[in-house]
Amino acid sequence: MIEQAPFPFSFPGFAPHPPVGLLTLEILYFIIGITLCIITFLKTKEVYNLTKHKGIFYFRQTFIFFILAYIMRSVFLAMLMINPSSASMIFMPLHDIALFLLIYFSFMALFSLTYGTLWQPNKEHYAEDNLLNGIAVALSCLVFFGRYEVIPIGLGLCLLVYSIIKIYLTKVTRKIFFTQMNVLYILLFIFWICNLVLFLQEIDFGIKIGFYAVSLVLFGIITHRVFKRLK
Amino acid sequence: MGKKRDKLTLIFDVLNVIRSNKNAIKPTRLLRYSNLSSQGFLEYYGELLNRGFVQENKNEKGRKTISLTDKGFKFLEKYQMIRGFIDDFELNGMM
Repeated sequence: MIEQAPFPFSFPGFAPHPPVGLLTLEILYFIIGITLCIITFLKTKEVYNLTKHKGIFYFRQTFIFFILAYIMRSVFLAMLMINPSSASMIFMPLHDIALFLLIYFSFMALFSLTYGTLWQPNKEHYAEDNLLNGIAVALSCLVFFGRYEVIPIGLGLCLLVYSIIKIYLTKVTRKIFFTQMNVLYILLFIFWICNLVLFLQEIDFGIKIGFYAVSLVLFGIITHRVFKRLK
Repeated sequence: MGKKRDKLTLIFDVLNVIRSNKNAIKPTRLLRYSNLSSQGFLEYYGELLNRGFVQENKNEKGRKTISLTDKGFKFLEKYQMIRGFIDDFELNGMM
């Protein structure tokens, strides 16, 4: 029997031999998710080129980071398929890099989403871009090297609470407190955090299907709205 | 007092003034019709030039006129769609 090598996170659902059902689920989730993100990103290219609007910039940036996170996720899984024992000296660094980048891109996607759509500062904010990158790298290091898997949840909750307060303070004069899009962005945020945490943990197959399905529905709604507006 | 125009609306208004003047307007007339301060106008006008929405020409009398480029026309044509997208996705706060 092949002994599993130490790994930044236990991944018992995939090693040493991933079940076919789980593998199919991950492949389907990857294909549908990345396709929806790519469509949204490409469809908004023209409006961004015409306007150079900062809000559209962050909206698109969110989706490019989702795309990169999906790619890293698939690279990580592919490495496990090729070499389930994770013991090879060749594949081990690739595993690690893919996992680190997956965490980093996930944080960046969430930062862009909250910063560009929920917070919306009015001034020029190039300095904040670097700040967001710095925070994302620092948090990724903490999760990756320190194995603090609770960080995504903690950070998610903090950002969420702050965003809700921010919406309340900036849009308090409106009749509708939370618009449809506010709710959609918040749900997307919550489910992406959940997906990241669930990916790093062994959980029930049924729960995984549920979370993946809701995430894809949220991406689908956004892509559909983009198409409706930019046809 | 009217609501303050955002950057996108300002760009639309300035380009629309040029289009409604048969796509050739003198800078002084454009400044007057765009309802901007001189400093604000220069700032936006420079941006419109840099982003390729407008171009400077000389008329038969050798005077400078401003006209829209293809990109400028495209912006005007797509403005309602762009505005709808930004409003629908709540991206208004950032310019």
